[in-house]
Amino acid sequence: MKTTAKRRRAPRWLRSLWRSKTGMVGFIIVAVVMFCAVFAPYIAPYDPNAINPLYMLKPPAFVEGGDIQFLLGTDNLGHDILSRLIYGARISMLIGVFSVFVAGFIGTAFGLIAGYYGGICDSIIMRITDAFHAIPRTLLALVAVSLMQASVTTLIIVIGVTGWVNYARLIRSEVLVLKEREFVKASITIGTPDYKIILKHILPNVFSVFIVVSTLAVATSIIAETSLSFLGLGIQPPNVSWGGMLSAGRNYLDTDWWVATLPGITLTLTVLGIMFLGNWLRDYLDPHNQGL
Amino acid sequence: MADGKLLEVKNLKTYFKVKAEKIGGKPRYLKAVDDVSFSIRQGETLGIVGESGCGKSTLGNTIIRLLKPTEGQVLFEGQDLAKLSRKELIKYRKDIQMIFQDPYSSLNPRMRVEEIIAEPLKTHHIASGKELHEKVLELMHNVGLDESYASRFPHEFSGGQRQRIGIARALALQPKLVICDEPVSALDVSIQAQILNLLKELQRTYGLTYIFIAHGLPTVKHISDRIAVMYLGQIVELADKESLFAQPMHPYTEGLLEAIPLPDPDLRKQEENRDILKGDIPNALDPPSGCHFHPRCPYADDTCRTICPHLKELQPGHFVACHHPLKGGMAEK
Repeated sequence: MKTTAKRRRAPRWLRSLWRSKTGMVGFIIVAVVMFCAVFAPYIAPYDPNAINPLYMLKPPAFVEGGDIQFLLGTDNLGHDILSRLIYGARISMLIGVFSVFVAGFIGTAFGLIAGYYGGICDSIIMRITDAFHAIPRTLLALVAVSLMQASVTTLIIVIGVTGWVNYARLIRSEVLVLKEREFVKASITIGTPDYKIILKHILPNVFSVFIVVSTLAVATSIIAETSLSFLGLGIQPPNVSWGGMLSAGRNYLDTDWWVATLPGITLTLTVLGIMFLGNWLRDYLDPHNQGL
Repeated sequence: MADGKLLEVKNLKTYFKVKAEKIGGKPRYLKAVDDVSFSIRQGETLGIVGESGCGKSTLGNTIIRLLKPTEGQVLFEGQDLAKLSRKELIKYRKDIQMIFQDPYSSLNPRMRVEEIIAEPLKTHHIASGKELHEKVLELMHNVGLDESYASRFPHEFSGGQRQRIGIARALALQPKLVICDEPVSALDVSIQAQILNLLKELQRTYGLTYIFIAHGLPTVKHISDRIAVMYLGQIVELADKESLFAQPMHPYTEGLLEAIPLPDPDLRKQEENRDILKGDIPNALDPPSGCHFHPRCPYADDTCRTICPHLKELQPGHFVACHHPLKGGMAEK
């Protein structure tokens, strides 16, 4: 170990990331989006809600008739699209990350209990997840959002609560494997209480699965948020979201394509980036690849 | 305790329910441990030998209550462990510990050695803080691990060292009975001897009682005082080590003894004449009628095919479950 430190090599995860081209692309995309989300007020050229009647529906600067003032053009109210995309990243990331915390917490708790205790407990929890699987997530979210007031917090809770099912299933299957490992049996023979076995022996060993599922879940949460906002049930103005931009731009699709297309591309790239990163992470954390 | 018996197992049965293959069909039972009785005296080592799938590990797991017995008694110092609830059992957990087969699976990969060995001490509130640290180092020293390893993770160790960590963890609570479930079968031959010697030495120092589970006779010969041979969930022969090796009475034991490879090439030439066990262990879900061993037994007759023999004491301390026990051992043939 000492000799590698002397040569000042990059940390192992970074070297692995570099070797995986898609992983690196994903990492860069996610880093850029994260950066935009955190520093939106400092990097956005305009106020995202500033209405400019003189510059309505300006095409992006690289298209004929575009204005260098508005790099990615303006929408029907004269909002600067670039600024709105940057602010939209905030909402997407906020909801994406926090709803995953909610879903991860609920799903992991259920998965651990179902897997560890088994029997009736397991059957009940798994039937509930089956039921959740059978109902389309968007439908469930639609009902919930229409019952509550649409806000960022509501969206986080709704998307989180409807998204725990995958965690419960994956964590459960991991626990079933771990439970048969001898170190868990050793703890039982020692007399360690169940909650300690779960927290100290099982939870740390499902962590890598958790991280991988979480990364991919951020992407699906962002899509869920976008769809709800597109349907007008998500983020309300003056907050900016990509789904809202898509929705506003669809009326101009045949004349002014950029209004809807640019948020669409941004969304696609972001989701793709997160998926790439997630796939790399899965390979990286897989113990079979530790020797690489 | 007056009779010196630390553990007495009476008619122990552990059955696993196997779901019916057809809807509406009757569930079947896999009789992993089927009516096993034996006892162990304080300070002795009982070896349990048998092919894989004969139920020897299930027996160990049932005694330590990793599995709930279907029927029967496990009397530890007169207290029936089989009847206790999980809560009541915690008191006795301290007294019975286990050393596991696979040192790569028996240590939590995300815990440091010190945490692993400290877990039993913390759980039973035996030590904390500085005292805990010292106790852990003492245990490490006792099993031949360097103190400097305390803050390392399991993956930094070899199989033999890992097994030492497992032994230290099992001894932390100063148990009276230690169940060794094939503790050396995953190790290199050279390391096996080291671990066996360590176990023997620890037994002398702490007055431990061992149940030593293994799949071959050579391993148990080194460490055991008495040996029980298991076949398809039942004990077929139980005797002192000396008389079992010198004069096996059950044909299966004889077969196991003959299966031991001979180190001498000259002797090996005669091997063709040896009657090594033929065939595989039958499906435990559907054991043969009568004596379970009869399809592989060279001496089987009609009685064997119909009537299941019970364990009988044919010589003092030498129990056999066979209708036609061998008289003069292997010499007779």
